[in-house]
Amino acid sequence: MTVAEIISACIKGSPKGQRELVRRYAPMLMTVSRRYALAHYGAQDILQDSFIRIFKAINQYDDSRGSFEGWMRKITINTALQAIKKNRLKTNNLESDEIKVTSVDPDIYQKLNAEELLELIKELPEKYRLVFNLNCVEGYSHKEIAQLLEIEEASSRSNLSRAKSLLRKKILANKEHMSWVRTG
Amino acid sequence: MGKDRLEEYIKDQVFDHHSEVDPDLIWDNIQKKKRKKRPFLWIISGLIGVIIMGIVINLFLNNETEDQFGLASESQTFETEAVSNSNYSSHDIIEDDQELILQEVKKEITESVEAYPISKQKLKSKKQSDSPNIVGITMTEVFREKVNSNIHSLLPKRKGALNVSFSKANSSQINEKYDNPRLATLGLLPQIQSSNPTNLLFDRNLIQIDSDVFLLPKETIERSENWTKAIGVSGSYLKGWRNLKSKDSLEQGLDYRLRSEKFMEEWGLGINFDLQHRSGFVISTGLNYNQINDRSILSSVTEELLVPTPEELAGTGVYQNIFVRERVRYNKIRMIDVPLRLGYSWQLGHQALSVQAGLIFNISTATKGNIINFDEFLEVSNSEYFRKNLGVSYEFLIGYHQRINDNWKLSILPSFKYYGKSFTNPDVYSIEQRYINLGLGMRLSRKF
Repeated sequence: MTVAEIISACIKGSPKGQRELVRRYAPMLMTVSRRYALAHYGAQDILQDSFIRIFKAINQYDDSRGSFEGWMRKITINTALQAIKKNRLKTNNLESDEIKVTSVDPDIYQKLNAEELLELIKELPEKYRLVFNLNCVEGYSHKEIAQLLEIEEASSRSNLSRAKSLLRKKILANKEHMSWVRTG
Repeated sequence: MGKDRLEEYIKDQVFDHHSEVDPDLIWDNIQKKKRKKRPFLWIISGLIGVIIMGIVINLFLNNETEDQFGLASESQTFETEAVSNSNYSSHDIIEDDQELILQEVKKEITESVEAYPISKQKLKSKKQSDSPNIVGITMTEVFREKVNSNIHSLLPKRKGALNVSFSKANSSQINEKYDNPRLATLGLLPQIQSSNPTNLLFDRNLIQIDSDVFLLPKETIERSENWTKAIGVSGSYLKGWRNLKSKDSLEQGLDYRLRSEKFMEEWGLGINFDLQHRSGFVISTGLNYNQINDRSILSSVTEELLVPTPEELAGTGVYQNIFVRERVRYNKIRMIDVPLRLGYSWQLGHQALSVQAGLIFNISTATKGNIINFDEFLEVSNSEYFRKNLGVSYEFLIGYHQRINDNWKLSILPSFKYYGKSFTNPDVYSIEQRYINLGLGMRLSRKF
């Protein structure tokens, strides 16, 4: 089935079309979900909710406004952000602002693959992780992020800066750990 | 690789990365989520369906009966006298000539049924004859069932259909309900049943029966409309049970709330509009203001040292006071609703019983107060944690109605309400909050 055929089948509510959509795009959207997922509300839950939303809204998809993949990514991101909002009460107090900026040898993270990077991103505190993902990976502006997360633009910038510093620190620690594993 | 290249590198690695995932498992879970149904919705829908079906069958049978029986033409006015029993007791019955007897029987039955459908009563329109027919036909059916087969075949070829009217007209209600309360003459029926057609003195009995067949409900004569409209005011008080559920894993917060929330109630005031069909079918709507109150108590323990205490003696109680502080909060949820109920009412003289089931369309919801968030109160007045509009809830009512006079009616309505949708906004807050309320309502309504 071509993408157009899948979309057409999904608009008609065909289970066959929907299943094909899941089969084809689940791996890609799973990566998006994983980057935003909480420990207690898993990536799989976000992915499933996203597909249900996609099925419901697929007749609103307009190919003149962007790619189908991009449209699905946006839905997945929105689903993830809503899941995070719902759980904000219990996650607010879990974060620490004490971050020491560390400079990292640029060659270190060249050896990290996507899975390792995803794990490191996942370890970032929520507010840093969200801004980092939205800005660095998805390409959202700070203004858009501020609207999405209901924060100030300045906070978005500051969180991004802290996210990057923390990520560098984690990369460095990861590198040391890897060295230790390899040598020890 | 500079600072920006870190971002680029991560984006290159992560953006188009495909994670390992089992699409079949995802698909199965999606199907499970989509299949989530609310059984209560089905029960209510089924109940409403049954009521509607019952009403439709009832109306259909009434119409059919009227067509077949055709007692009154549209503009005809009946003014008849009850037939004296003596008219019929004077007949000579010739025992040997069964054919003649049967012809007489047929003639008399037919005459009695057709000529005296409504004894001592006046009807002003065809519509008014509907309900009397129901009673009459029902009794004719009884009559047919009781007599033996020969007599049965001689009865007018008209079928009655509805047994409800007869079965509910027990002797204690006759005087109140009917202008011609001679239902007791039914007691003669067994005599006919046990006799041989050739030597029956059925003529006398039959005439009595016929004159009773067309009992007229008083209300039907007075009323010329199919639908009765009534407007009223109502008040209700319900005890509430909150159903809290954590969608995710906020078990600690949920536990605090379950332990601290002590008392829930709902009271309401409203204006109601009822439309009741002559068959008993009721449609009810209105505009209600409801308020749910709940009281929460959060206990906390503080210790105050009375004198400087040696470290080794701390906690022994000698040197310190322990205060238990209880903080009480009253939360209010205010709602404006429009109910839509369908039901059925059984008229029993001046009283009536009814059942109603329906939907409550919530127009707006406002909140005032706090919810417990771990060990503190969280101000949530009109916050995004609550829905602005609940959507649809469900209600089931049983009603006892007492007629005060021709126009006024007082109703007592035990009711059950189920707020199927969470009051909290699922997009923002992960504890779902529903109510199951049970209580009593009163309504004073006037016909117009």
